[in-house]
Formats: sequence, C-alpha cells, structure tokens
Amino acid sequence: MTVTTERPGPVFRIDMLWNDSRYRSTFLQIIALVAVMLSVLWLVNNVVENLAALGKEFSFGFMNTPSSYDINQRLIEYSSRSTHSTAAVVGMLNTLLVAVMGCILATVIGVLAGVLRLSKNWIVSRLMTVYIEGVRNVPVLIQILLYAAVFDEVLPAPSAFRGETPEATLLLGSIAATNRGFYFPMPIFEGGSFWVVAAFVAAVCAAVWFSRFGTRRQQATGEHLPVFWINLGVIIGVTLLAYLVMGRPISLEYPELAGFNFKGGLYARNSLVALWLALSIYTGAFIAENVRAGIMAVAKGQTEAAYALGMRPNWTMRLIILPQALRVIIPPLISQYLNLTKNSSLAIAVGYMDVTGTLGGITLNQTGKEMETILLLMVFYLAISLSISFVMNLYNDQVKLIERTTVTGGGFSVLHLFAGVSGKWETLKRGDAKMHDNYGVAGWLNLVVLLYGVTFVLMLYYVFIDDIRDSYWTWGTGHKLIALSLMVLSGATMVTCIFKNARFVDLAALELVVFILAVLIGLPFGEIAFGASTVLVVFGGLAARLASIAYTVFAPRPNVTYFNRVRPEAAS
Amino acid sequence: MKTSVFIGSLAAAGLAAGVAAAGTLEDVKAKGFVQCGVSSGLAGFAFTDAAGNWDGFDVTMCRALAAAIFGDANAIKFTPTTGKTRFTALASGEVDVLFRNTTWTYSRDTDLKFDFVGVNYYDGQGFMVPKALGVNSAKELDGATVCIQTGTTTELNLADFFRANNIKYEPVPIETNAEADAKYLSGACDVYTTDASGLAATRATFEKPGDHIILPEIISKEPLGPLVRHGDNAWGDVVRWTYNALLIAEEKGINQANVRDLAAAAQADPEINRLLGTEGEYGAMIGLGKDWAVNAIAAGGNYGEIFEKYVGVNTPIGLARGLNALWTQGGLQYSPPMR
Repeated sequence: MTVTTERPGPVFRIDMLWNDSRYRSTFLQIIALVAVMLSVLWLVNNVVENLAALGKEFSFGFMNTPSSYDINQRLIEYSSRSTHSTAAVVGMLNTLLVAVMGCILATVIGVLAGVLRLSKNWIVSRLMTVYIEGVRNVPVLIQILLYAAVFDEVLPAPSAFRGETPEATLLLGSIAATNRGFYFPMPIFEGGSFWVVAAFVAAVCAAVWFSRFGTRRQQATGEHLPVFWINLGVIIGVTLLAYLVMGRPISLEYPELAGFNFKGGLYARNSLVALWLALSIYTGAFIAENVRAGIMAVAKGQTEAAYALGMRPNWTMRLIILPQALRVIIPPLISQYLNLTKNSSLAIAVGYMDVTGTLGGITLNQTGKEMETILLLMVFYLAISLSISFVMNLYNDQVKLIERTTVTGGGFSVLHLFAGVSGKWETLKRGDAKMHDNYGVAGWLNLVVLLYGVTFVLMLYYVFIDDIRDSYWTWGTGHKLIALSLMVLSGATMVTCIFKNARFVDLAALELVVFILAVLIGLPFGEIAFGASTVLVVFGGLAARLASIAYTVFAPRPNVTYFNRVRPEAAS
Repeated sequence: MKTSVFIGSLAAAGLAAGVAAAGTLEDVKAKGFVQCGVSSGLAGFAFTDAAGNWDGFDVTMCRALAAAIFGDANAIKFTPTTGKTRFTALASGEVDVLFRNTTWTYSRDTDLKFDFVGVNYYDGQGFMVPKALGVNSAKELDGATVCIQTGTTTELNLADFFRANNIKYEPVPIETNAEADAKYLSGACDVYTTDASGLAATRATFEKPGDHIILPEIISKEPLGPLVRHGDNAWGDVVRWTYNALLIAEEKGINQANVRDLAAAAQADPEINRLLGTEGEYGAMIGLGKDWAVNAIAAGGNYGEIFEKYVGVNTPIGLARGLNALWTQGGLQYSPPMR
C-alpha cells in the first residue's frame, strides 16, 4: 500500500492575515467586531463614570413612588397619588390610542388618495397630487401645531354656548365642538343592556358564518348570494329587536354645559384630535404613494383581462388589482405604521400626554432620573415597533407570493418533530389550497386564539395595570422575567394563530415551557385569573395548551393551513 | 494582552470624558465666558431686547457674575432652557449656572444633585383668570381647564391644591410661557397658573392687562434662586457671594453710580471696604480679583436697583418688593456678613 501524503501547505505567517485572501475577510471582520465592542464598552463606561461623578444611583425604585402630578386623559384609573409606573402606563395607553387611531385613519386616507391619484378624472388626480406633495413635504410637527392652533383659535369657547341667544350651538343638537375639544353623546348601558350586546355579538357571529357559507356556495355552484345586505339586515334587525324587547336599556348621554366646561358625553380633547388628524393626514400621504406604486406594479394585462371578462371597474380594483397590489404595498406600509407611532412622540407640542409626556417628560423632570426614564422609553418604543413589524410581517406572509419551500420557510420547527406521525408538511400555493379538501375554517381554532388571548390580556393586566398589589418594580428578577416573557409569548402566539401561520406551533411550544416555569416559580395564577382556584387555572391551562398544540398538529382540518401552509392529506 | 491594553486606555478615555464635576471656576476662566442657563422668555426676568441681547432680572444677575469673574459683564453666553430641559442642561455641564425662576426644593437640592446658592426672588404660586369669568377665589375653579408649564413645581402644587380642596380640574400641560400665553388668550384655558411674579410678568405683556385678575390665593412657597451642580463648592461660593454682594451693596447704599467712587479709596465703614476690595484680600479667598464685587455691582447695580429696573412697581410688571425687601425693611432678603 502506498501512503499518499498531501503536500504541506505554506507555513502560516502573521502577514498572511492581511495578504492572504483566505484569512483576510475573517481577520477584518474580527477587527470590526472588536472595534464595535470597544466602542460599546466605552459608551457604557462613560455612562457609569458620569453617573458616579454626579453621585447618581442607577435604580428604578422611583417608579414605585407617588407621581404627584395629574394627567388629563387617562384610560385607566389614575390620580396624583398613583405611582410613576402607573403614570407611565397611562402615557403608554395614550400613545397606543393615538397610534392605533392614526394607523386606521392613515390607511383609509392613503388607500383613497392613492387610488384617486390614478383616476382618469383630471381634477381629482391633480387634487390628490397637490395633497400628497403638499402634505408630504411639510414637517409633521408644524402640521400638528397648525391643527391645534386652528382648533384653539377658530372653535368657540364653552362660554359661547351659554345664554339665551348663544353665539354657538351644538352640531346636530348633540355634538359640542369647543376650543378645548369635542363632546359627543355617549351611550349609557343600563340593566338589561347585556342582552342587547349579547344579541349584537350573536348576530355578528351569525353574519360571519353566513358570509362563509355564501363563499362556499358560490365556489360550489357559482351562485352569488346578496350576503352583505342580508347580514346588515340581520345585525341591525336582531339588535334592534333585542333593544326594544328589553325596554330600551341603552340611552344616550348628551353633553351639557356645566360650570367652566361641558359635562357628560364622550370627550375627545383637541390635543388628541389635532395629533390624530395631523399624523393620519401626514402618514396618509406617504401611504397613498405606496398604494399608487403597488397598483402600478400590477401588470396592465390584469385589468384588461378583467374587463374582457366583463367585470366592472370597481370590482376589478377590489377583486383583481388591490389583492395583487397588496404584496407590493405591505412592506413599505409597515414602515409607515412604525413612523406614525414614533412620530406620535411629538405629542407634547400640543399638550397630549403620551408616554414621552408622562414618563419621558414630567416623571423625568420631577425625579431627575434621565437615564432610567429614557431607557424605559426606548424599550417601550422598541417593543411597540417590533410588535407592529411582527404582526405586519405575518400579514405579509399571507398575501405575498408563496413558493414551494419547507413548511416554516426553513430553519428548525417543532412541526418537523411530528413529521413521522402527522405526515410531512409542505407549503402550497393559495390556489392549491383551494383545491384541497382540508381547506376551510374550523371553529375550534377560534378557541385556541381565545386561550392565548385571555392569557395575554390577563398577563398584561397583571404586569402593567394591576397596581393594587405591589407593582412590577418590586418583584424579584426571575418573577419579572417570567411574567414578562409569558405575556409576550402568549401575545405572539395569539397573533400567529390569528394569522394561521405555521410558526404558531413553535411559539406555542415555547409558551408552554415558560408557562411551566411560571408555575414552578410560583406565579400567583389564581390571583391573575381574578381569584379563580390556582389548581384549576394551572392544570386547566396546561391541558388547554397541550390540546391546542395537539389539535393544530394532528387534527384533520388543522387550520394553520388556511392561507399558505397546508399539510398534504395523509393519504396522498 | 493587546485587548486589555485597549480596555485600559479606554477606561482612561472614559475618565477623561467625565463631566466637569469639579473646577468649574477654572473651566470658566479658561474658556473666557460664563455659560448661563436662563428662561426661554419671561417678561422682566429674561427676555431679548430689540437688538437680540438678553436682558432682565435674572439675566442681569448672571451678568454680575460674569463681571465679578472677568470684569466684563458681556463675557457671558446665554442658553434658553424650558422647565423640562433646564436640569439636564445644568447636570450635563451644558451650562455653568442656572438663573431661571427655579424653585428651591428638597429633592432638587439633594436627589437631583444640585446646590441652590440663594433665593433671588421669594415667590408663591398664583392663578390668573379673565375678569369676565367672575371668579373671585381659586376654590371656585371646580371643573376649570388650567394651563400649566410642564416639568415645574407648579404642576405638583396644583395637583395637591385641587386634591386637598376636593375639586376637579382639567390640566393642559404646556412647554413654554409663550405657548401658555397663546392658549390662555385664545380661551382654550380658563386659568393660567404659575409663580405670581410670572403671572404679573405675563399679564404685563397682554394687550389689555386690566381684563385679567390674579386670584388672591397663593398656594405654595416658591423660593426662586440660582443653582449650580452639587459638589463643586468653590464655584458655588463664587455664585453665592456674587449674589450676596448685590444684597450687601443695597444694604450699604452702594449703587451702580457710586460704586467706582466708593472703591477708589477706603471708606469709614469697614464692611464696604472689605466688599469693594480696599481692605484685605477677600477676592482671592474665592479665587477672584480684588475688585470682583465692584465689577459685579457696576454691571447692573445692586439688588434693589435691578429689582426696580426690571420688575418693580414702576415697570409694567409692577411687582412690590414685599417679601423681597431687605431684612432691614421687613423683607426676607438677608446676606451673611462680609468678613
């Protein structure tokens, strides 16, 4: 036998690190990494040195002391005796309120303006061009101030509504537009109104079922049912009937002038309305451009084909163009939502008490804890932005073109562990899914959503809002971490389940692990579930989680399959 | 090995990058001017004149400080700060001293790591309302919309006052005095609350000051004074004694007009001599020249002169001396002896 020895390579010399292409890139990357780490270290060190030089201690203990200031708009109970952490939560909720309202209105404005800018009507399309180019190119802060100033100066003071011949009157006899805000009539729920609400919910459920029935029927027979009008009739009719039968238990409370201001009714402060309108109109202009780009990205042949089939223009837009345009529109739309949310931190300009105003404003100022409050603020905005990205990416997964890849787009998935039992999972195209027997919506999945939804809401309440016990800042580190991760994971699991994304199973498995950890560490689950039996909650929760996972993996119609990820039938 | 050297030099760099915690006086002398934090605009106290120069009660006192150090009242730069930004500006070293209607409180003195060096205006929080509302007392303000400057003690006092009297209000947080003016005048707020001196100053700028009244209730103590960073005692002494010099000057009848004459030769009163540098080495004790107090007084006059010039009864703001009279005239302004 002959032994072949490899020719010995050149001996490694130190200069080969930058001369030899085999080592150069690695060497440079290591240098870059060290440089980055050193600069981070320098920053941290600088902070530590400076805090020490100022004699300031880094601690979050102040979050548990009374805030001593009032906040005008509060969605949860709050007074000047509440803690700084409650004040921060009040601010966060205000931020979320204006962000959610803003995203909805901006989308509506953006889609309308984007479609109208492509209109063949010269005036309409030019008007939209003027709106988009005008609004997009003026800083949003100036627009916020503009709307607030207009409300302050143009709308009448509440005193103008007083007297025999008042200078101002209520709009439609029920809405007061003042320079402090808008007062709307507010529904008052009295005894028996529960049944009216229940009837409404039942009618909506029935309507959802009926529209699905309508779709199936149309797919099977080609016959089109007037689903929309029937549903509208059912919802209004059933609710109205319950309302009359129960003896009109819901009444409207109208705003009335009392003292300095109006009292009663629903009060939307000018700061909120100005901020909301400014952010929506500003972001709407950007979304309009995204929508226009998306529509123009759909080949003209699609429109022509639709017309050739005899479709009306509005159907063509709704059924042919927009669904295809969405996959171009969604990714930039995500960043517009993020922009809107982050821009809402300009709220203090009009005195809207968002989280930058409470935690990053008054709390920072009254306690002098700049480092801590700004860190918390950054964590908050980061969490919100990542959540929005997460949800929108799931939505993007649904509408984008799907390629035949592995079930979860590569990478590890719990689903693969069960491949031997449940059969291999593959991703099918949307059209394939429709041909599939397993296609459809099983109501059981709603229960799974409900399970994680309830967990999420309870944990959210427990971590952030429930101030009666000791607050989050007094807990031990393990307790904090577990409670937070359980909250985050249950929320993420719920959302993936809503979007029927196969990653649901992975998140659910992780959530199960954290749930077990939480049980071991002794999270007071009875207390979290508003005084239910702890044993019941723990074992019920465990059983429900296992059942959910098993259902989605093994059930015959596991509807993580609805949109893009389908398990082939066991037989095929 | 190399890395640890890196880290070592890095730590040294970190040390060097630390804030100017000690030796502010040396730093100020080295850069040649005082960086003074003032209000972003409050009639009488800190405002810019037609030429864009800063002027006012607080501004002149800060100029006196510059004059004491450099002999030049213009060796100074001003940084306008809001109620929200002022503490960060001072703590970070962006300004050397804050002369800005800032209330001396326990937590600011201790927890926020500042030192208040004196009280240049004894104030209290009041309320201003339009006469047309027919309100005579702050306790009648149930349900009113109140404009407040955010990040101030007034925000806290207001919460306490309404809570203690069990009445409700709607706070409208505002960043600066100018914004609050606009809100109040447009009727978006029923009430504007801040320190009584600030209310008087704001009212003086209105088109019809007579249409607005300041309610009789003063709901808090607001001792307003200059402040410096905690821990730099030498610098604190300079600011404190420059201010005290202005008080002693008023007490001893030294004013802007006669200060140079009095300093030319020793006088009969040894305290005047000690103050004006014709006796002893008092300037050197705080690291300044012999004529530090002369320059400080010559910059804008003594305390009384500054008060009367900018906010006194003969100005549109029309504040009486009241608590701010010298202790010899029944007020609270009192300087420790110069010896």
